[in-house]
Formats: sequence, structure tokens, C-alpha cells
Amino acid sequence: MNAKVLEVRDLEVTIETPAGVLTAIDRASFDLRKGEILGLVGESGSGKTLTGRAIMRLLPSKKMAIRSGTIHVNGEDITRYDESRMRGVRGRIIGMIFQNPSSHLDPVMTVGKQIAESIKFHEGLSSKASLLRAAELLRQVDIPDPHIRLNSFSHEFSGGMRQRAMIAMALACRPKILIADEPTTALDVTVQAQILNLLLDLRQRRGLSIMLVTHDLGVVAQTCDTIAVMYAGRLVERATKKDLLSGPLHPYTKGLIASQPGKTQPRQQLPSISGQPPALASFPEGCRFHPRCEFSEAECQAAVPALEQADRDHYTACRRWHSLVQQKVLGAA
Amino acid sequence: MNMTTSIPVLRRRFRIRFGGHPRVLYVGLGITIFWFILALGADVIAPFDPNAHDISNVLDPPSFTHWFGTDNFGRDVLSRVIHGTRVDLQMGLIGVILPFLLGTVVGAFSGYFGRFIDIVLMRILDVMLSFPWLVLLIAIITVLRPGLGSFYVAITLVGWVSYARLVRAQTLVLKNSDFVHAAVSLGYGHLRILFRHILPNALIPSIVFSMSDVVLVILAGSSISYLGLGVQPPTAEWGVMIAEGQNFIVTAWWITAFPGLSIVLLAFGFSLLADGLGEKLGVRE
Repeated sequence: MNAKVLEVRDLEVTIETPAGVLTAIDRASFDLRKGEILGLVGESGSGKTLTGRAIMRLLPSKKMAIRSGTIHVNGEDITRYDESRMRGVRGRIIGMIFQNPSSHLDPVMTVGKQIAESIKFHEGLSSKASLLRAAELLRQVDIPDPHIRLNSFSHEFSGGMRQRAMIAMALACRPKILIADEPTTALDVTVQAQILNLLLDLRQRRGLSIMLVTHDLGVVAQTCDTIAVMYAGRLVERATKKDLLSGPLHPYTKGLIASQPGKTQPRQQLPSISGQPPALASFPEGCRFHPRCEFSEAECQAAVPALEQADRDHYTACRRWHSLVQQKVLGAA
Repeated sequence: MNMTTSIPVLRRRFRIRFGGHPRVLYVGLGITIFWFILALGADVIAPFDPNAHDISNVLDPPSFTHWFGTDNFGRDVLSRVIHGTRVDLQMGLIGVILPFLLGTVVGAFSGYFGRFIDIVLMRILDVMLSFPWLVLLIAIITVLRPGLGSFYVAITLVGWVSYARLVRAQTLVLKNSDFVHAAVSLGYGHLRILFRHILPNALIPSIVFSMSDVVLVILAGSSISYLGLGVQPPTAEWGVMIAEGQNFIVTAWWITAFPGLSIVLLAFGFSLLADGLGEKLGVRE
């Protein structure tokens, strides 16, 4: 098995509010290995995007902070880095791409200049050399006529091309890790498939490790090696893609998979998880999923379930997983 | 002119609006280019030496030799108006560029870094705004010593506030925009983000505003010169000419009328340019 390039341990992110300090991410732990694609899945507000931002140390508000936990990149804990050392990590070791490529590109600077700026900034190449590299990058992300496209502005690009340009920008300085925050959400399905293939291809060619943050299980099924499921700020299940999709060991994951279209017969109503995800200020006691869980017992409210190892590389945070597997409710069918 | 009117109100008053017709931009551009040609080619275009006295032709009304007539020293008013364009345009441009630069830097730092810097700079700005600006302008020039150089210093000290406000407001919005987040995620430092990514996007409203500001600065410059605090006679400048001609306004109206009309036409051109540019760039005040 490949070496771990990113190790997140007990990451806790808090938000200061007038109502007190709230925990947005509660002791999340996961690894990313070289050349691996990890899917971080969850509903809106589950903390998946925040996890990606916390790794970059780009929390969206000054009221948010990493309270505890460690993030090891190549064996070094970057939570101890100060802001100026962190700048050396961003772009050079960890790249990031975002959900909405249209608004994440500078509207008054040509795409070529934006990519070249990153190369110039991190590697100190001349303007001419970095523009050549930028053209080469655009070619690698399958943009036709890269030398001409260097001089285009982002509004002259289509949505898919903008996302490609963003990827080129993020990869300009050969980072080892790419955090992709919902990279295909704003794109239509065919372009979405092209972008995912591009990511797979880049992983193959560059040995890039990718953390793919998404709410779309379909995207995850197409691309990821490992999947981590988040619910209300906690990691509830983590396993290889095959294990997780074919034999989920957490009722929430099971519900998520069941609510995907495809397996249901036509004209039949799609199963859904009843209720709504809890708001940050009113997370339930114990297991945060228990109010919506059809298998919950009194004890589920009492104690916070730990993420326990159920199988090799399969972790679940449901204290009833064992008995539920025996009842053939969870696990492989 | 009401001396206590605040700068934004005054500026709005001098700004003529013509709705969003694209022709407005080109008419404005045409008038502005006309004045620039006059200013650059003054030596060639002007029929007479603007400072040559001619005792035999004093206070001549407009004629085919002297289109705009002559003044009390027999100087050709047309030539003086043309040469005055140089001084007045230069006053308008430098008097806008300097406050633009100072205001942009102040606004950018204030909006981007926020906190203490923002509080201090914005309180200074509030103090500046609370003064009647023309009085402040005159006071600064008087303290420094009347002249064009003092006028530039004074207009910079008085005029930066509008630009600072505009740039600060834009910076506040832009610093939380997605492409700035993307720039941060590439590891860029504050100054690079501020000057390469935020400012180019934040300047558009300021550029549009500066066009209408030219009008006000030229008016201010002429007014100051009229009061004897700016450009000094015998230099041909419109404000100075009006001041010199006012003693003869009943008998020789042309000495004051033509420089006055020139100010109006120059202001008109820049106003149209500002309006058209704002329309084209999608900026609303």
C-alpha cells in the first residue's frame, strides 16, 4: 500500500457564536494515500467543505478555528504552521479547486496570466517560460488551441473549460494533494464525466492524491477508491468504495445509498431518509443521527459512538452495527 | 455656490445625466478629444501670441481678425482661451490623478486589512468630509502660498476621500469573492492579492467617477485662480481671464464670456464621457 500523504487526526473545528462555541467538525480522522482518491460525502451542512478548507487552513470566517487535532502532510503537522509557512503549502503541496469555476477565476486577468502567475510565484520562472508552461498545462487538461486560449478571459470560456482552467491553475506548481470541492456540481452531466475522467487521468499520470468533496454518490462511485461519509460534523463511516457501497455498516450510509435513483423500479417512490439534518446549534446528544434513524434505541442518545473498526479498512460510528448486521439490516446483502 | 454643500452633493449637481444612450459616450469623447487637440497644438492653432500687448487694439469686439475680440491690454482672447486650455486641462488631470492615487491606496488598505487601520483611516475621512471642501481648499492653499503647486497639494488632500470610499467599498466586497479565495488557496500573500487581483477589479467605479471629477476639479481650479490663489496672471487661464475681465463686463462682455463658455463646454464633454463610460461599464452611482 502506498504511503500516506495526508493524515487527519481528531480534527475539531469550532465556531464562535453569540450562543456559545459550537463544534462544526467533531474529531474527524482520515488518511489520504499517494495516488488515492478519497470521496468525502455528506449532505449540505455536514461539514465536508469545511473539512477541506480546514486542511488548507482557509476557514471562511475569523470566528472559526481549529480547536484541536492534527493534520500531517508528509509527516509534518501543518496545524502548527504560521500563516507565512502555510502559504508555502497552499498551491505548492496542496492545490484546491472549487465548485463554481466561473466566480473563482479573476474576471479581468487572462486565463494564461493567471496560471502563469502561480508558476512565476512559486517557482520563480520568467514570464515567458511560465506562459509556455501554462500553455502546456492547458493542453494537459484538454483545452484545444492552448496557445490561443492563454489570451482569453474567463468569460470567454465555457463552464467545463473554466473548471479545466482552474484545475490547470491548481496543478501549476505540481502539488501532491488536490482538494476538489464539488468540482462538478455546477456542470452538466457530460461535462461532469469529462472532468472526472480528467481527474482520474491526472491521478494516473502524476500520482496525484485527490480529496473529492461531494454530495453526489454517483460521482463518488465513478471515481473514488475510498469513501468517508460525514453527518452533522462527524465522520460516520469510512471504507473502501466497494465495501461501503455494497455493504454499508451505518444506517445513514445505507439510507443515502437507498435514496439514489437507479435501483428503484419505475413509478415507485424513491426511498428517502425522514426528517432533516440538524442545525449546528441544535445537534442532538449521543449519536447525531439517532432522531432520524429507524434502528435507534435509548442508548443511542446516551453516548457518542466512537468510530470503530468493523473490518479491515472499514470503520463505522454506529454502536448497533454488529447486531444490525446479524439481523441482515446492514452489511452485504 | 453654497460653500457648505458636501462634496458628493456638489459633484452630483455638476454631473449632467443624459440617460443610457451609447451616443453620449462618443459625443463626450469627441468634445474631450477636441480640447486635448487644442491644448497640445496651442502654439500652432492660436492665431496670436496670448501675451502680446497691442495698445492700438484695446477692447476690440469680436471681428474677423480677433474672433473672440481683445482684452484691456489688446491681447487676443481666442489665443488666450486656446492657451488656457493647456493650463486648465493639466489642472483637471493632475488634480484628479493625485487624489485618485492617494484615495485608492488608502481605500484599498482600509478595506482589505480592516480592523484598526480601517477605523483610523475612516475617521480621518469623516473629519475631511465634515469640512466645507472649498473653504478647506482655500485654507490649505493660503497656508502653503498661492500658486498651481499649492493647488495640487490642496486638491489631493481634499479630494482623496471620494476615491478612498469607492475603492474601500469595492475592496470590502471583492476580498470575500470567490476568485480571491482561489488566489489565497494558491498561496499568494496579501499585497499580491490586493494589488494584482482586487485592485484591477475595484478600480472601475473610480475610473468612471474620476471623469466627472475632472469637471469639478477644473471648476475648482478656475475658481481658485479667479480668487487669485491659483494660477497667477499674466498666465492665460480661464479663471484668471474671467477675473481680469469682470471690470469690463458691461462694455466688453467677450473677455469673460468666452473663457466661461469654454469651462462649460469642457465640463460638458467630461460629464458626457463619464455618463457614457459608466453606462458602458455597468457602473451605477
